[in-house]
Amino acid sequence: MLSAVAARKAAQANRQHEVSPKTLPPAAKPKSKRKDAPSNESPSKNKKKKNERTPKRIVQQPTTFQLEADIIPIALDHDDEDDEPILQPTTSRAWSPSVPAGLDSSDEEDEEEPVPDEITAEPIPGPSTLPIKFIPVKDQNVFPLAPTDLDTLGLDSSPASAICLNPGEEVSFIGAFKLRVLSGSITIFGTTLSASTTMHNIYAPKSSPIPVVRVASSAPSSTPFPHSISRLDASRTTIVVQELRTGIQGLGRICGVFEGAFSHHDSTFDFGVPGIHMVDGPVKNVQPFELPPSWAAALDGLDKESKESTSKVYVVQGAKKAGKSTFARTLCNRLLAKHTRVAYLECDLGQSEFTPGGMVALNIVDSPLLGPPFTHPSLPVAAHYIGATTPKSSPSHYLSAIQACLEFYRLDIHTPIDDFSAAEDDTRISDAIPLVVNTMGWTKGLGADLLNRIHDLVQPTRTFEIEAPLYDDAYNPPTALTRDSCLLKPILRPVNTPYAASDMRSLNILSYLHAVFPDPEENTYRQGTATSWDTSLPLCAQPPYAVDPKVALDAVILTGAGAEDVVASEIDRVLNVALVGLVEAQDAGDAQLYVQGAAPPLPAHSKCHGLALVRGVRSTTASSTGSSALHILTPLPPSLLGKTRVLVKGEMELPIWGMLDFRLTPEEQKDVPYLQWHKGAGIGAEKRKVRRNLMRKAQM
Amino acid sequence: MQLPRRVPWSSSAELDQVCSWIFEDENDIDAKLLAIQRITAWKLITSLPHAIESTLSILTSITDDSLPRNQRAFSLTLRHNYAAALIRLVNGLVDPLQSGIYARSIASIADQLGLPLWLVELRHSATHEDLPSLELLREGARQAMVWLFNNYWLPTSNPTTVPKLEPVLRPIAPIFNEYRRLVKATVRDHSIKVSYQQPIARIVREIERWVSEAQVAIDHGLETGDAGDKESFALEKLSDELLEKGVLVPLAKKKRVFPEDGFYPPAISIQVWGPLIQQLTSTHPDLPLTLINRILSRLLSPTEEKSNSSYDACIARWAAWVVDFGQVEGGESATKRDVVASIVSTLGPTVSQAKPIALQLVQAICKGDEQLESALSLLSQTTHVSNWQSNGMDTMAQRLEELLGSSEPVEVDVDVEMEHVDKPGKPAHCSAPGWHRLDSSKWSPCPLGQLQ
Repeated sequence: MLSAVAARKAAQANRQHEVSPKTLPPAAKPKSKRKDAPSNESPSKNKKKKNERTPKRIVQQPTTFQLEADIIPIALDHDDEDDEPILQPTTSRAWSPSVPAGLDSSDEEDEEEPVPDEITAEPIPGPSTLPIKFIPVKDQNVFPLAPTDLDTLGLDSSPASAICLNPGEEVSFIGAFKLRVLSGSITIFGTTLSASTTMHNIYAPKSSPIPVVRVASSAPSSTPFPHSISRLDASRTTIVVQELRTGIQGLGRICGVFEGAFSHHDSTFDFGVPGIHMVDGPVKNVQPFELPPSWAAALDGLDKESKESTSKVYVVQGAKKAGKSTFARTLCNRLLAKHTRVAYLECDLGQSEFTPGGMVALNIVDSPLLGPPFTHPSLPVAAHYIGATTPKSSPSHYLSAIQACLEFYRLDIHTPIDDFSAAEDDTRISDAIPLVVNTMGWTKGLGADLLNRIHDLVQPTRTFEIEAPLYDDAYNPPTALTRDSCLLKPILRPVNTPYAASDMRSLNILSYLHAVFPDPEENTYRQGTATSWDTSLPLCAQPPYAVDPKVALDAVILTGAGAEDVVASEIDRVLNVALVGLVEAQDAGDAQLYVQGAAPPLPAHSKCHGLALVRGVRSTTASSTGSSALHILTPLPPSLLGKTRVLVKGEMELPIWGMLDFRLTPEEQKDVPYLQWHKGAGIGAEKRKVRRNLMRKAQM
Repeated sequence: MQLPRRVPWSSSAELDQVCSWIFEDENDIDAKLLAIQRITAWKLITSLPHAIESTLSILTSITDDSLPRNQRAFSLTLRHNYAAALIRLVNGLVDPLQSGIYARSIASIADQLGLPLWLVELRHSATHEDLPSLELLREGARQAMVWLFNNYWLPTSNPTTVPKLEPVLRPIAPIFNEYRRLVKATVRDHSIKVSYQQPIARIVREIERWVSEAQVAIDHGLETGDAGDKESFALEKLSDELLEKGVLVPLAKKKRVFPEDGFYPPAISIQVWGPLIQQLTSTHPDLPLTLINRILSRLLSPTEEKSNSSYDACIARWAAWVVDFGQVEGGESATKRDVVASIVSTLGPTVSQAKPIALQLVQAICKGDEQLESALSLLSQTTHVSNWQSNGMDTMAQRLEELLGSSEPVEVDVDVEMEHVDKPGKPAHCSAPGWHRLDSSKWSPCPLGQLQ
């Protein structure tokens, strides 16, 4: 045991020295050192291990690390009495034999596990200098812009303010707003934005780490400000924040958990811009976005790569909740500094970046992603519907979907010959599009096997592997670290957040169903991100499409465990209030719409365009009366609907929030079909619960 | 807001129909096939209650088994079918009750559920030992179906006619008796205190175990499965047991001799039960308040029968003791006030006409607290009560009319927020063949799952 600890210590020290991506000889696998420890260690031994860890954490930290930064990453105002500190020890009574332990309410592989209080993830260091709190003073560093100013800057007429930042000053926001850098450059969400005429949409809900705007460099603006706004000091870094009207705040009404996620009522300063709230003290359960140093080092390493436009394929992998998608998003944003477009292959079916999940999707990114996934639902350029939040029911279909996306990338995307045109003064690479592959967090058992297969398919030029969070005591088999692997530390997660992973999934689906997507352009691979949400009406009150299955559809296919046994007479029932994939497939036509046990369309010959909700079913088969119709809601642009002639229903469901009408009280919705408000009578009326942390008497 | 649950049936009538398909006629294979097809479809829609899922697997095995011999699969296949169905049935029923840190024995949970014990044995041998014989498995499947019918399908379809299952708890009286015997002995003879320490500790642990069992048992009795609710339920049960005659209150009336100095229960009772309550309070801080509440509800409930005054006196004195003990321990400092408020509010304006013992309790608690004493004297003065007149309804109806008449219909603007949104406007026209966007003239909003 001791030798293992020593080995890990050594490995840790090694890792700390090699900040840049490194090549690991096959013999030295630092990960495996820890993982080889027997999995049935007694708790006391674990404890000892953890104690031994503590001093190392100090060694790891940069010398300039400020102790405060561990606790107070954003500028602190101790006078603020309204908010509770961010990191407060959870107060819970000591263990009592009569307190039932937590239950895992689902049998899913990727469901959350109880997180112990002690999280030994990488502490978040502050910047090299002490952050200076930004104190807004009207007409000194905050300038509300008059309509003439807006005109001069070429902005639309919504309220806007200019903010001047001195080096070292930082300011963080909650809300949704537009941002433009007028002079100098800033960092936000780990991405550097330089002065340009580009307006960025920033989404900073409380449900995810909020952005901290810092000065990256205050190089004076090459072009002095127009005379009319010369009161702004061009030598300071200046940004403009403007109201952003998207309707995304309305998602809080639809999905009650996120009520008020975009507002913050304790702001002491009013920028005169609706929807933006400055954070001037710690806010309960809200974390600022901080880039861990190992991430920053890895991302900086990218800049040293050759400028050659050879194929670059990056794979991001790691255990669940380690921060894979956050890293992949930041990686995309970094790559956009050198490339006009970046391709993103999503292999994580549970928490997808651009789609509501359940599909392997290839997306194009051409503007930085400045917000959590639910704020940028996008139409994929290629996607294949799996229909579940994990590939465990159909692993081979999953792999062939990835294979098909990769082929599409290699043939059509990698060296694009489409009509995409970047700005003329854009010096970024546009003749080759790099690929970022995000993988799933299921890294054990079959999941590990699948990950290896994905590696073989993708052939990455670099792999970013995020270590398993250290509280994950389970046995982790050593992953095969290939050459050009880069080890990263897991991100520090808030210990208690009101937003569970299942809530985030629900929000992703609902955000997608309420989104308003742009019409895709022919022959151009663009981002296709929704920039507004129609949240005025709940789903149940939105007028649907009436679809005649005889005319519009070729096939209806069911996937998922047990789907083969559903007989044709029950298909209408299964489709009612089902979330389905809209799939374009070659030669899917058959005499009958539904054939029992039919396999989903082969990814090589099909493409999923998006999701739809079947909100009502008259009949899929023509009866004697001849009235067959489906009522379907989908956010897809109408131009795509003619192509999607196959409906695939998988295991994904509409979240309960989506079935409710937020304008009514629960009492008024007691009679909504397919919902049950009371707890079922009788024994066994519950859905199955799975406990994975049950201990035997012998473990006492 | 407590979210509802998604169910695959549109109404409970649909569920009842499936129930009758399965259970009405044991020999009607066609009806069983219909049920299998329906539940299979349901399973694709959303995850099902475990009982329905188990019914499906057992029913499929039985239906397969009932095919003519020449169409049947190998008997090993049938045995596997049955075995898997039974294993999953038992596991799925037992697992939700494993709510502690450590695993409880499956047999004890099955006992609590009323599940035939030999199904648990069958599960064990099918999992770890020789696969049981077809005959045994068939009988197991039959009994499992009977159990599912009685415990899930019947209560589900007639929730009102079937009395709600009161959680079955093992009797605690023998444990209390043993505790009293041991502690009384040490009270009488101090020399044996040390040697009795361990047995007493064991009994106290046994009582703790009873409380946690009560918490687990409540799983099936409560509407909401909150952990706090479970604990307060268990403590209420414990308090009720403590208030049975022969526990806190001595069984023999002649033993209910109260001390002259102070409003306390008999000294011997305090010596015996006081330490227990103190000890239990250290793990269940809510116990004193729960106990007081139960005492008050017993004291204040209007009883027709000639109430047992010495019993009432004794539990009232216990309440006073618990309040004082709570003060001494520095626990709930507001206990005194809470108790007084609770008594006074229950008594209502008829404080002076209440049971004398309740009044005595209030006075005893208030004694020594100037604030409370003055409040109490104030309360007991207001004796005038306006009695309910028969024309009261008319007055209320009149007021309601006035209210309704004056209020204009208020327009609630829900969409204030949306007005600020730059809406690109959904394209109304859709050229895709077979797709036709409905507008409000042809379609009116309705809950999901319905067409109009």
